[in-house]
Amino acid sequence: MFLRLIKLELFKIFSKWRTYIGFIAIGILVPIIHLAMLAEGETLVEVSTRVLRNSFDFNGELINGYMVTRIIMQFLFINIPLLITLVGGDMLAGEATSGTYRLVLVRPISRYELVIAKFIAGSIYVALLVIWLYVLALGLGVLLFGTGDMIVVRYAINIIPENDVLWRYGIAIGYAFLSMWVVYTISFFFSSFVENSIGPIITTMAIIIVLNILNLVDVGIFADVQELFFTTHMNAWILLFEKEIDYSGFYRSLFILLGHVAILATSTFVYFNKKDINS
Amino acid sequence: MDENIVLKIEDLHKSFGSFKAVDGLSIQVNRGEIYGFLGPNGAGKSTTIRIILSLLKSDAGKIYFFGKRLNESSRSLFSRVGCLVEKPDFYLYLTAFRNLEYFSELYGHKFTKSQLYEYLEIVGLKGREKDKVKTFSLGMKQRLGLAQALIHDPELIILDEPTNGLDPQGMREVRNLLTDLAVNKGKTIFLSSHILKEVESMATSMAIVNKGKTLVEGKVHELLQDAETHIYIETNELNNFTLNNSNDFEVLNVEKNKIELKANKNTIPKIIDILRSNNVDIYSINSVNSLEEYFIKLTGENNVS
Repeated sequence: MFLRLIKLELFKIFSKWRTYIGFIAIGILVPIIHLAMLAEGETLVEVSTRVLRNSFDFNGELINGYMVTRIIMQFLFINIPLLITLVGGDMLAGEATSGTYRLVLVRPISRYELVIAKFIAGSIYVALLVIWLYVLALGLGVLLFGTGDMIVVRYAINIIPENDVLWRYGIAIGYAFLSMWVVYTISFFFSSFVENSIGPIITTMAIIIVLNILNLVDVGIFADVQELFFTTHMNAWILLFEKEIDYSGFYRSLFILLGHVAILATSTFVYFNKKDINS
Repeated sequence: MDENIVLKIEDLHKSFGSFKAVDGLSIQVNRGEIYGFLGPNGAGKSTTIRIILSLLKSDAGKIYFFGKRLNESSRSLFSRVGCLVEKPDFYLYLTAFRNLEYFSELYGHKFTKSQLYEYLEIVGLKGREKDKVKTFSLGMKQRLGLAQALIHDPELIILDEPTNGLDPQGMREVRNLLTDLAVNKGKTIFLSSHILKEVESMATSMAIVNKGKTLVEGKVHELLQDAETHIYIETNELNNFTLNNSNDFEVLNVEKNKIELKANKNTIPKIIDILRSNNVDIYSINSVNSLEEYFIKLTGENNVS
């Protein structure tokens, strides 16, 4: 029965127009960035490496599909959360808005089963959106720019050998999903309190914006608190593209994000099970 | 507990802040009954139904379905219950067929297409199966609501204002359908309605509630047996004849050829005798609204249909 519930929730998610906004937006944005890189990419790389060019000679094509994918990921990771909240914020509040709890919750299924099935179905949507982003960015990138060693310009220039790139992207996809899963879980959490999906969407985005701003406040007493913000750890996938990966930092970020998911999801399940359905 | 007691509520309580919506309500619905659940607006009917169906958590009280106490571990009892609570809301972006398919699958097994089409036809939605629900009128949604309540062949059907939004023809169809389900298929129907004539014409048992309490409960014919009835008599011209109040009836109005009385139905033969002994010709006698009178007497409310 539980698997049937997940299937039914997926059916509902993919019957709604708003579900496809994220896929369409990514489907439009990624090729645009690819085309921009095709036109201006060399200039961009030249600017990034200007200082180093005084000391080193750069030969051959620096831009390739792997490098472009990483740049796209950095660009889009700021905006993907909004697309996630469109669905996450609607998962529970949408049923209240439409009044359908009166029909769903009078079936021989427990509230725990329903809310967990909804959570899993929404998580599958998040995973598909992240995979779509990577497949499009990497696939189109490789097609347009080819492959090769990956140049990563961060605090220094790292050159990652071609045969060492794809496994890093594999883990990066998993981590990107985790980051977006936290965003989804927050919007899902707020969605359980209200009867309109606008509130959870705006609240989740407001939290992300506020925490991102607080992250920029470089004051000592904030440092410990900032460490607990999920926004601090959302971009930890970047660590995977260092020459020597900081695994302890990576795992710390991973567990902090997982902790957010566990606490918020459990709180939602417990609250939803106890709440009165007045809609 | 007896399995033939399909639904039993004992001393149910529910408050919203300081407002007591349900205050010690108790009722019992037996197998095969059409049970009318009546009360004025704000009496606690919808709150009670929501608690029965576990949409709201009660503060105290016990609920039994088919003799078994309802709790988290007995959710499977809901596979024997079909219901439609308040207005019928569906997924507007899905078709009628898809909505029915979705809600029926929540009972744990897949219904065939022909079963789904059959129920859509029973409720009068044949030809509209593939239309999105957002194009439906309230009456059509109400019909779809009935289909989702009946699709799994439940033993107990709980309906809150089932004819709301339907045209007169639709109301009659629904009443006939429910009567057929109870009389010929042995279903138990728990019917909450504002339309007293609807309950009077269909229900075999009823409860009248007000301010969250059960005022009366019992067989409809027994409860109404002693209820006073409005009696309208059409006569020839009354001229100098005067009809005075008696211990058995109260004269409400006398016109040129009409008399309106308030009395028990059992008094009608006596009234006829009085009129005939005074050479008054009687053309017709109608007794009406006995439940309405009874309802108003009990609740002191006039907000009934």
